[in-house]
Amino acid sequence: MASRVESGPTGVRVIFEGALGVSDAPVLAEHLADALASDQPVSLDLGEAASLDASVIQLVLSARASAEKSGLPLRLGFYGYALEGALHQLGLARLLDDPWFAEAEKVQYFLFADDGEAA
Amino acid sequence: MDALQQAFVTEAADVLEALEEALLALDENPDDRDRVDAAFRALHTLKGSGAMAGFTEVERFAHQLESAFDAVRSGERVLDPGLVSVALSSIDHLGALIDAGPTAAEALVAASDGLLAQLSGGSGGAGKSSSGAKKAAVTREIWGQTAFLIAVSPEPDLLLDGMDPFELVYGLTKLGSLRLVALDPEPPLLDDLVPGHVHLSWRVLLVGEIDPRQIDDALFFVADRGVVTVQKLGDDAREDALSEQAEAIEEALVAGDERQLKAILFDTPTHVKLPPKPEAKEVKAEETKKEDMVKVSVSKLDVLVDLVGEMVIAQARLAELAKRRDDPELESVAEDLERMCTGLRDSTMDLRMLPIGTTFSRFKRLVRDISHQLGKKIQLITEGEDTELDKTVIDKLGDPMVHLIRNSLDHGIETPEVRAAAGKPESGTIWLSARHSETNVVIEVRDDGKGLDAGKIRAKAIERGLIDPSTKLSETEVQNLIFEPGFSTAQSVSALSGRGVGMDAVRTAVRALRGDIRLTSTVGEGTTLRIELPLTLAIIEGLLVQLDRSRFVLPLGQVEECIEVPGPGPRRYTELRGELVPYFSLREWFGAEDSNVENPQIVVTHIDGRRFGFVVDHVIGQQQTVIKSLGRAYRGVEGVSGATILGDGEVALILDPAKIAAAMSEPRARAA
Repeated sequence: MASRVESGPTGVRVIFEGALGVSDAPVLAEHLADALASDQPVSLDLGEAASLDASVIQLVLSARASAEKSGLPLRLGFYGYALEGALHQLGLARLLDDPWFAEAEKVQYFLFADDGEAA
Repeated sequence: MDALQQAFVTEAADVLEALEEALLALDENPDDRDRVDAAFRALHTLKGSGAMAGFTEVERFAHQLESAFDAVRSGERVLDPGLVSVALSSIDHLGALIDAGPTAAEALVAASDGLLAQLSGGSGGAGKSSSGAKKAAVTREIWGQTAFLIAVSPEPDLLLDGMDPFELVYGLTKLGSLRLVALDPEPPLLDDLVPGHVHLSWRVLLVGEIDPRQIDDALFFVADRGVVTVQKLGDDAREDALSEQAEAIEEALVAGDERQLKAILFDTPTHVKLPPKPEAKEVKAEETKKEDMVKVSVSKLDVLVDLVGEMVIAQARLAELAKRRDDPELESVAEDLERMCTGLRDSTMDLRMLPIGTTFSRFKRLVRDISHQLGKKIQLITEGEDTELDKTVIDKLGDPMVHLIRNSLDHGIETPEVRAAAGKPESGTIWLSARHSETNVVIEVRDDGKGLDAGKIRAKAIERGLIDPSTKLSETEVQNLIFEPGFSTAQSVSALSGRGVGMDAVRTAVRALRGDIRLTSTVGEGTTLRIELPLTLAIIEGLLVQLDRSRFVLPLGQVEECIEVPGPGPRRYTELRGELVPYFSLREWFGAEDSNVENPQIVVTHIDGRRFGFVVDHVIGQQQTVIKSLGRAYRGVEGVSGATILGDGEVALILDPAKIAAAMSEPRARAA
């Protein structure tokens, strides 16, 4: 499953998960559009995404533009190395300084738990 | 298959067609670099989209074929006819792999391996460069630390074809140091975004010892799918500036500030006078605004055509009703609706129109393969590829056209020796052309071969009992006897065109499309076959005629004029501008009694180059005719090709003048 949607008292959470590419774009777009149409605060969670290609980054940027234009509350909840890596590769790294990205929580992965750096 | 796989199968058919076209062109001109590039790109697309759709064997095979073409591009391999032949067989194989679906059977995988062995030179090493000459031609010049400013705006659907912008960046990183920025994107809103599309464009600063051709190679796949400009900023650039002044460079790239970039890279004060702007290299400027396309399945178009047909009938009924009620307001509405219906009908029919060139391209392959097989030198010259025809007509025309071209290849064009002895060029030519002519399309297949021998044809026709020895026929009439069932001029049945399917099958197929075929031939000079077809099969313009209380439609495309019957009596011929035209009574055809109608009319038609008249009680007028197929019980009725519903709800039969004329004249032709 490329994404899942969770509804709660504080709004809707759209979670992108796994390695996401162009073949996942239709379902991701559908989930984002449905969430934005719910009239509830929407949180996009990219913390569980293992990789994102250009089409998924485009979706995120378009969702943000749609939310801003219509005044819908869409915020980036979590993100990880997948988003950072994709933005760097696409020449969009400067967006990480943008408040919409900067205010999101970056998920930390500790690959070397034995080294004592694990959470 | 899921939607992505279906889309791949559809797309792949186009790609394979383009690939075949490129290979056939390369067969004639192996040095055509653009064609080599086109073949390479097509294979790369096939590989990428095949992988994405899960067609792993297609991906594997296309990858190997792509490598072979990469070797051709780099000059390591020569594109000789042997390699072209293997590559053409590989295209057929790719088609088979795609038809087989995502999981290829073992036999297909084994076939892949066989072809790949040939491709790698296993069978004689065809295509391997024998000397260093080609290689030397692409020896790279080494440049200094040169800075390039590159702008890339790919088409949004690049990713859907398996090409990833990440790969583009990766290709450039191998050339030198770079800084890349996506231009401040104004993203489309979610509702306007086609999932999978990417609306990003980039500016790249690249510094290194780079030959500009390396940049062309790295951007090869994007160059054909968007706009790429490569601009040299200057030599002796400071490569370390890219890391030391990364932020300033990024800002300058986003702003497109070329002066600032030069100042950073060449230690030039920013206030220096700006040099004249170097000419940017437009790789593909004309494709900045490519027309948006939507693929629609033929079945959906068929439904639309049916609905438009029903609407035309309903509109005709409304017009009839308005006329009967003598209601000006209703008539005005009916007229408005008629205008809109006509526009809608034309637009809908236009949707089904395809350029006939899609069929022509397959004949190039046919001519190449069969002329090699026969040891003949034959070239195919096509013209009018853009001529549009209804998709159904194009689909049904394929087999008859193959038969005509095979006939020219097999029987028409002589061997090089025979041609040389006859004082002709060793290489024969087949011309294939298409053009519009009023409401029809005319397709001609012409060759400069030996032509048809009327004497031999006549003898064969008599031998086969097709004509009586005393029958007097013109040379053209004799030549057209080859359209009679079972007729063949070949001394022996060949494997190509003499498979028991004669020219009668071609004529039957053309007539089934409401078309007409004619032949003219001159001994020693060649043969021309002329096919005339209606633009569409769904709605035609017809001439509505009446016999007693029944009405019938004659296809207007075959009608020349209407004249009065020349006096009473059982005459069968009338003179029309110096030509004796036979005519028949449709009453006689339908077995109806003679009538006492005043001023019956003859509808003069042209069929197979000859005129025939049909006597009717009244000519009602021109009628937009939505063709409905007949029920099973009526399908075999001779001389009737369909039916239509008239404005008053009555059914009118659509007549087939060619069949009626043939049946009515047969006894006389044999006995004459």
